[in-house]
Amino acid sequence: MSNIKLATSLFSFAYEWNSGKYSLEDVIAETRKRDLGTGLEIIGFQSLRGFPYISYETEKEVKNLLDKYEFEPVALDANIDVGIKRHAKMSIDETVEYIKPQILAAQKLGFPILRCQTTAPAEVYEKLVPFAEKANVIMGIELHTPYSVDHPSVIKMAEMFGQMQTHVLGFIPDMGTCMRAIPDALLTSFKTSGVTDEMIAITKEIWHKDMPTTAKFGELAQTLIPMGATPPQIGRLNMAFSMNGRQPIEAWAEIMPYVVHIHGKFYGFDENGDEPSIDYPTIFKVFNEGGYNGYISSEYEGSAFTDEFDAFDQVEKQHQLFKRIVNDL
Amino acid sequence: MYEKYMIVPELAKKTEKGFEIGARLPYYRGVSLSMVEEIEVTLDGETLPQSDVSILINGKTYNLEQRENELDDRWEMGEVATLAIAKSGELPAGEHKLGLKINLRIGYMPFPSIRIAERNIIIN
Repeated sequence: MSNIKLATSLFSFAYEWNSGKYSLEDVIAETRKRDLGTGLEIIGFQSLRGFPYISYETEKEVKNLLDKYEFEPVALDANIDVGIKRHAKMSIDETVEYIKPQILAAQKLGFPILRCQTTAPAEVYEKLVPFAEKANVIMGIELHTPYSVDHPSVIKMAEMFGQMQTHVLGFIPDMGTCMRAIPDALLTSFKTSGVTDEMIAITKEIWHKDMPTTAKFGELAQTLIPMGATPPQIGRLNMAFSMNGRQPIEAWAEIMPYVVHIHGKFYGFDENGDEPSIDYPTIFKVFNEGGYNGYISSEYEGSAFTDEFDAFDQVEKQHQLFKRIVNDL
Repeated sequence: MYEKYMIVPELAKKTEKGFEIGARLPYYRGVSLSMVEEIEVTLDGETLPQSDVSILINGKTYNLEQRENELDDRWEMGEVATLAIAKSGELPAGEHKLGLKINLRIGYMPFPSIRIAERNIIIN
């Protein structure tokens, strides 16, 4: 028995959308047609013109589409562009002001959760609590690799959550934080930038080591530069570390009470319909046993590396896998 | 694979000052123009100075310096921008090999987001 609910993030269809062949309605209609869950997650800066400022027309359009295709609004994704200025990082107060209109956008469109990012430190979210409480929007801070539960920023954030005693702070664990292998789609894409099999083997070996991600960047560069790897090639290979975390799945139990949503990141499937790089049966087991009863959103990441597959087909396969797992729980 | 849609060949044409092409942002969402760190155009193997590339978007034209400082106006995902490239000398009409590199400065990523596209296009 599981109370975990299924959703789809429109992040999954970024590539289809970028082709110019789909409107927002086309994407949502296809998501419904394929029965990809009861909840919907959208990215403000992807799907909404003029975001974070929401016009009356946009508000009406989004609400009509959710209604027409029977989706529950689950999460609206904010982006916290602290590097927006070329030579200076945003200050704490500037970051607070950058997030405020995005909170109001979630409120206006009826999304209970605004996906936030670890780009902003705990202090920013602490300052935003009264504003978010007034808007009644939960700031769900995404734990994207390298921000696993033992990361100093995450520990600090969880401590702050404990002190604030508010319902508007929570975490959104991204399943790319707790992977069991580097995805094939990513490895294959490295080869198009001239990366050799030997360089890939070294990358895999370093990935499996128990050391911080930044140390892995250093070791990779040190090992590969003498082998003739170029900076762009090393840049691509660094993605293997920054995109694929190795946190044990069981460690999510440490922050379970704060989990408000989950990102079901995935890259592809084997012939049995399983995700070779992410252990979803164990993930569902851990969250289910932790009493989590919110949504998990499909987030297909493969489009960044290959156009071999249709993203709708891929999300459909993930939902088949999820349904199979839920049935077995 | 956002490289696939980066260059919009139908919009390529010669201009008084050089030539122009259409371009889409190689990313999953829109960004402020200031976050477009680099736009590098290569024509028939020659890399053209980035200071000679202007971007026309949302009805406005931004040269390199203006683009770097524009925090509010955005290049939305899927939106086709026109890149106007100043180039002196005779540009023969017909097929050319065009390269386009776009580097985005995403504040929270540990490395630059660089995408490179290349294709043969007709510039008349």
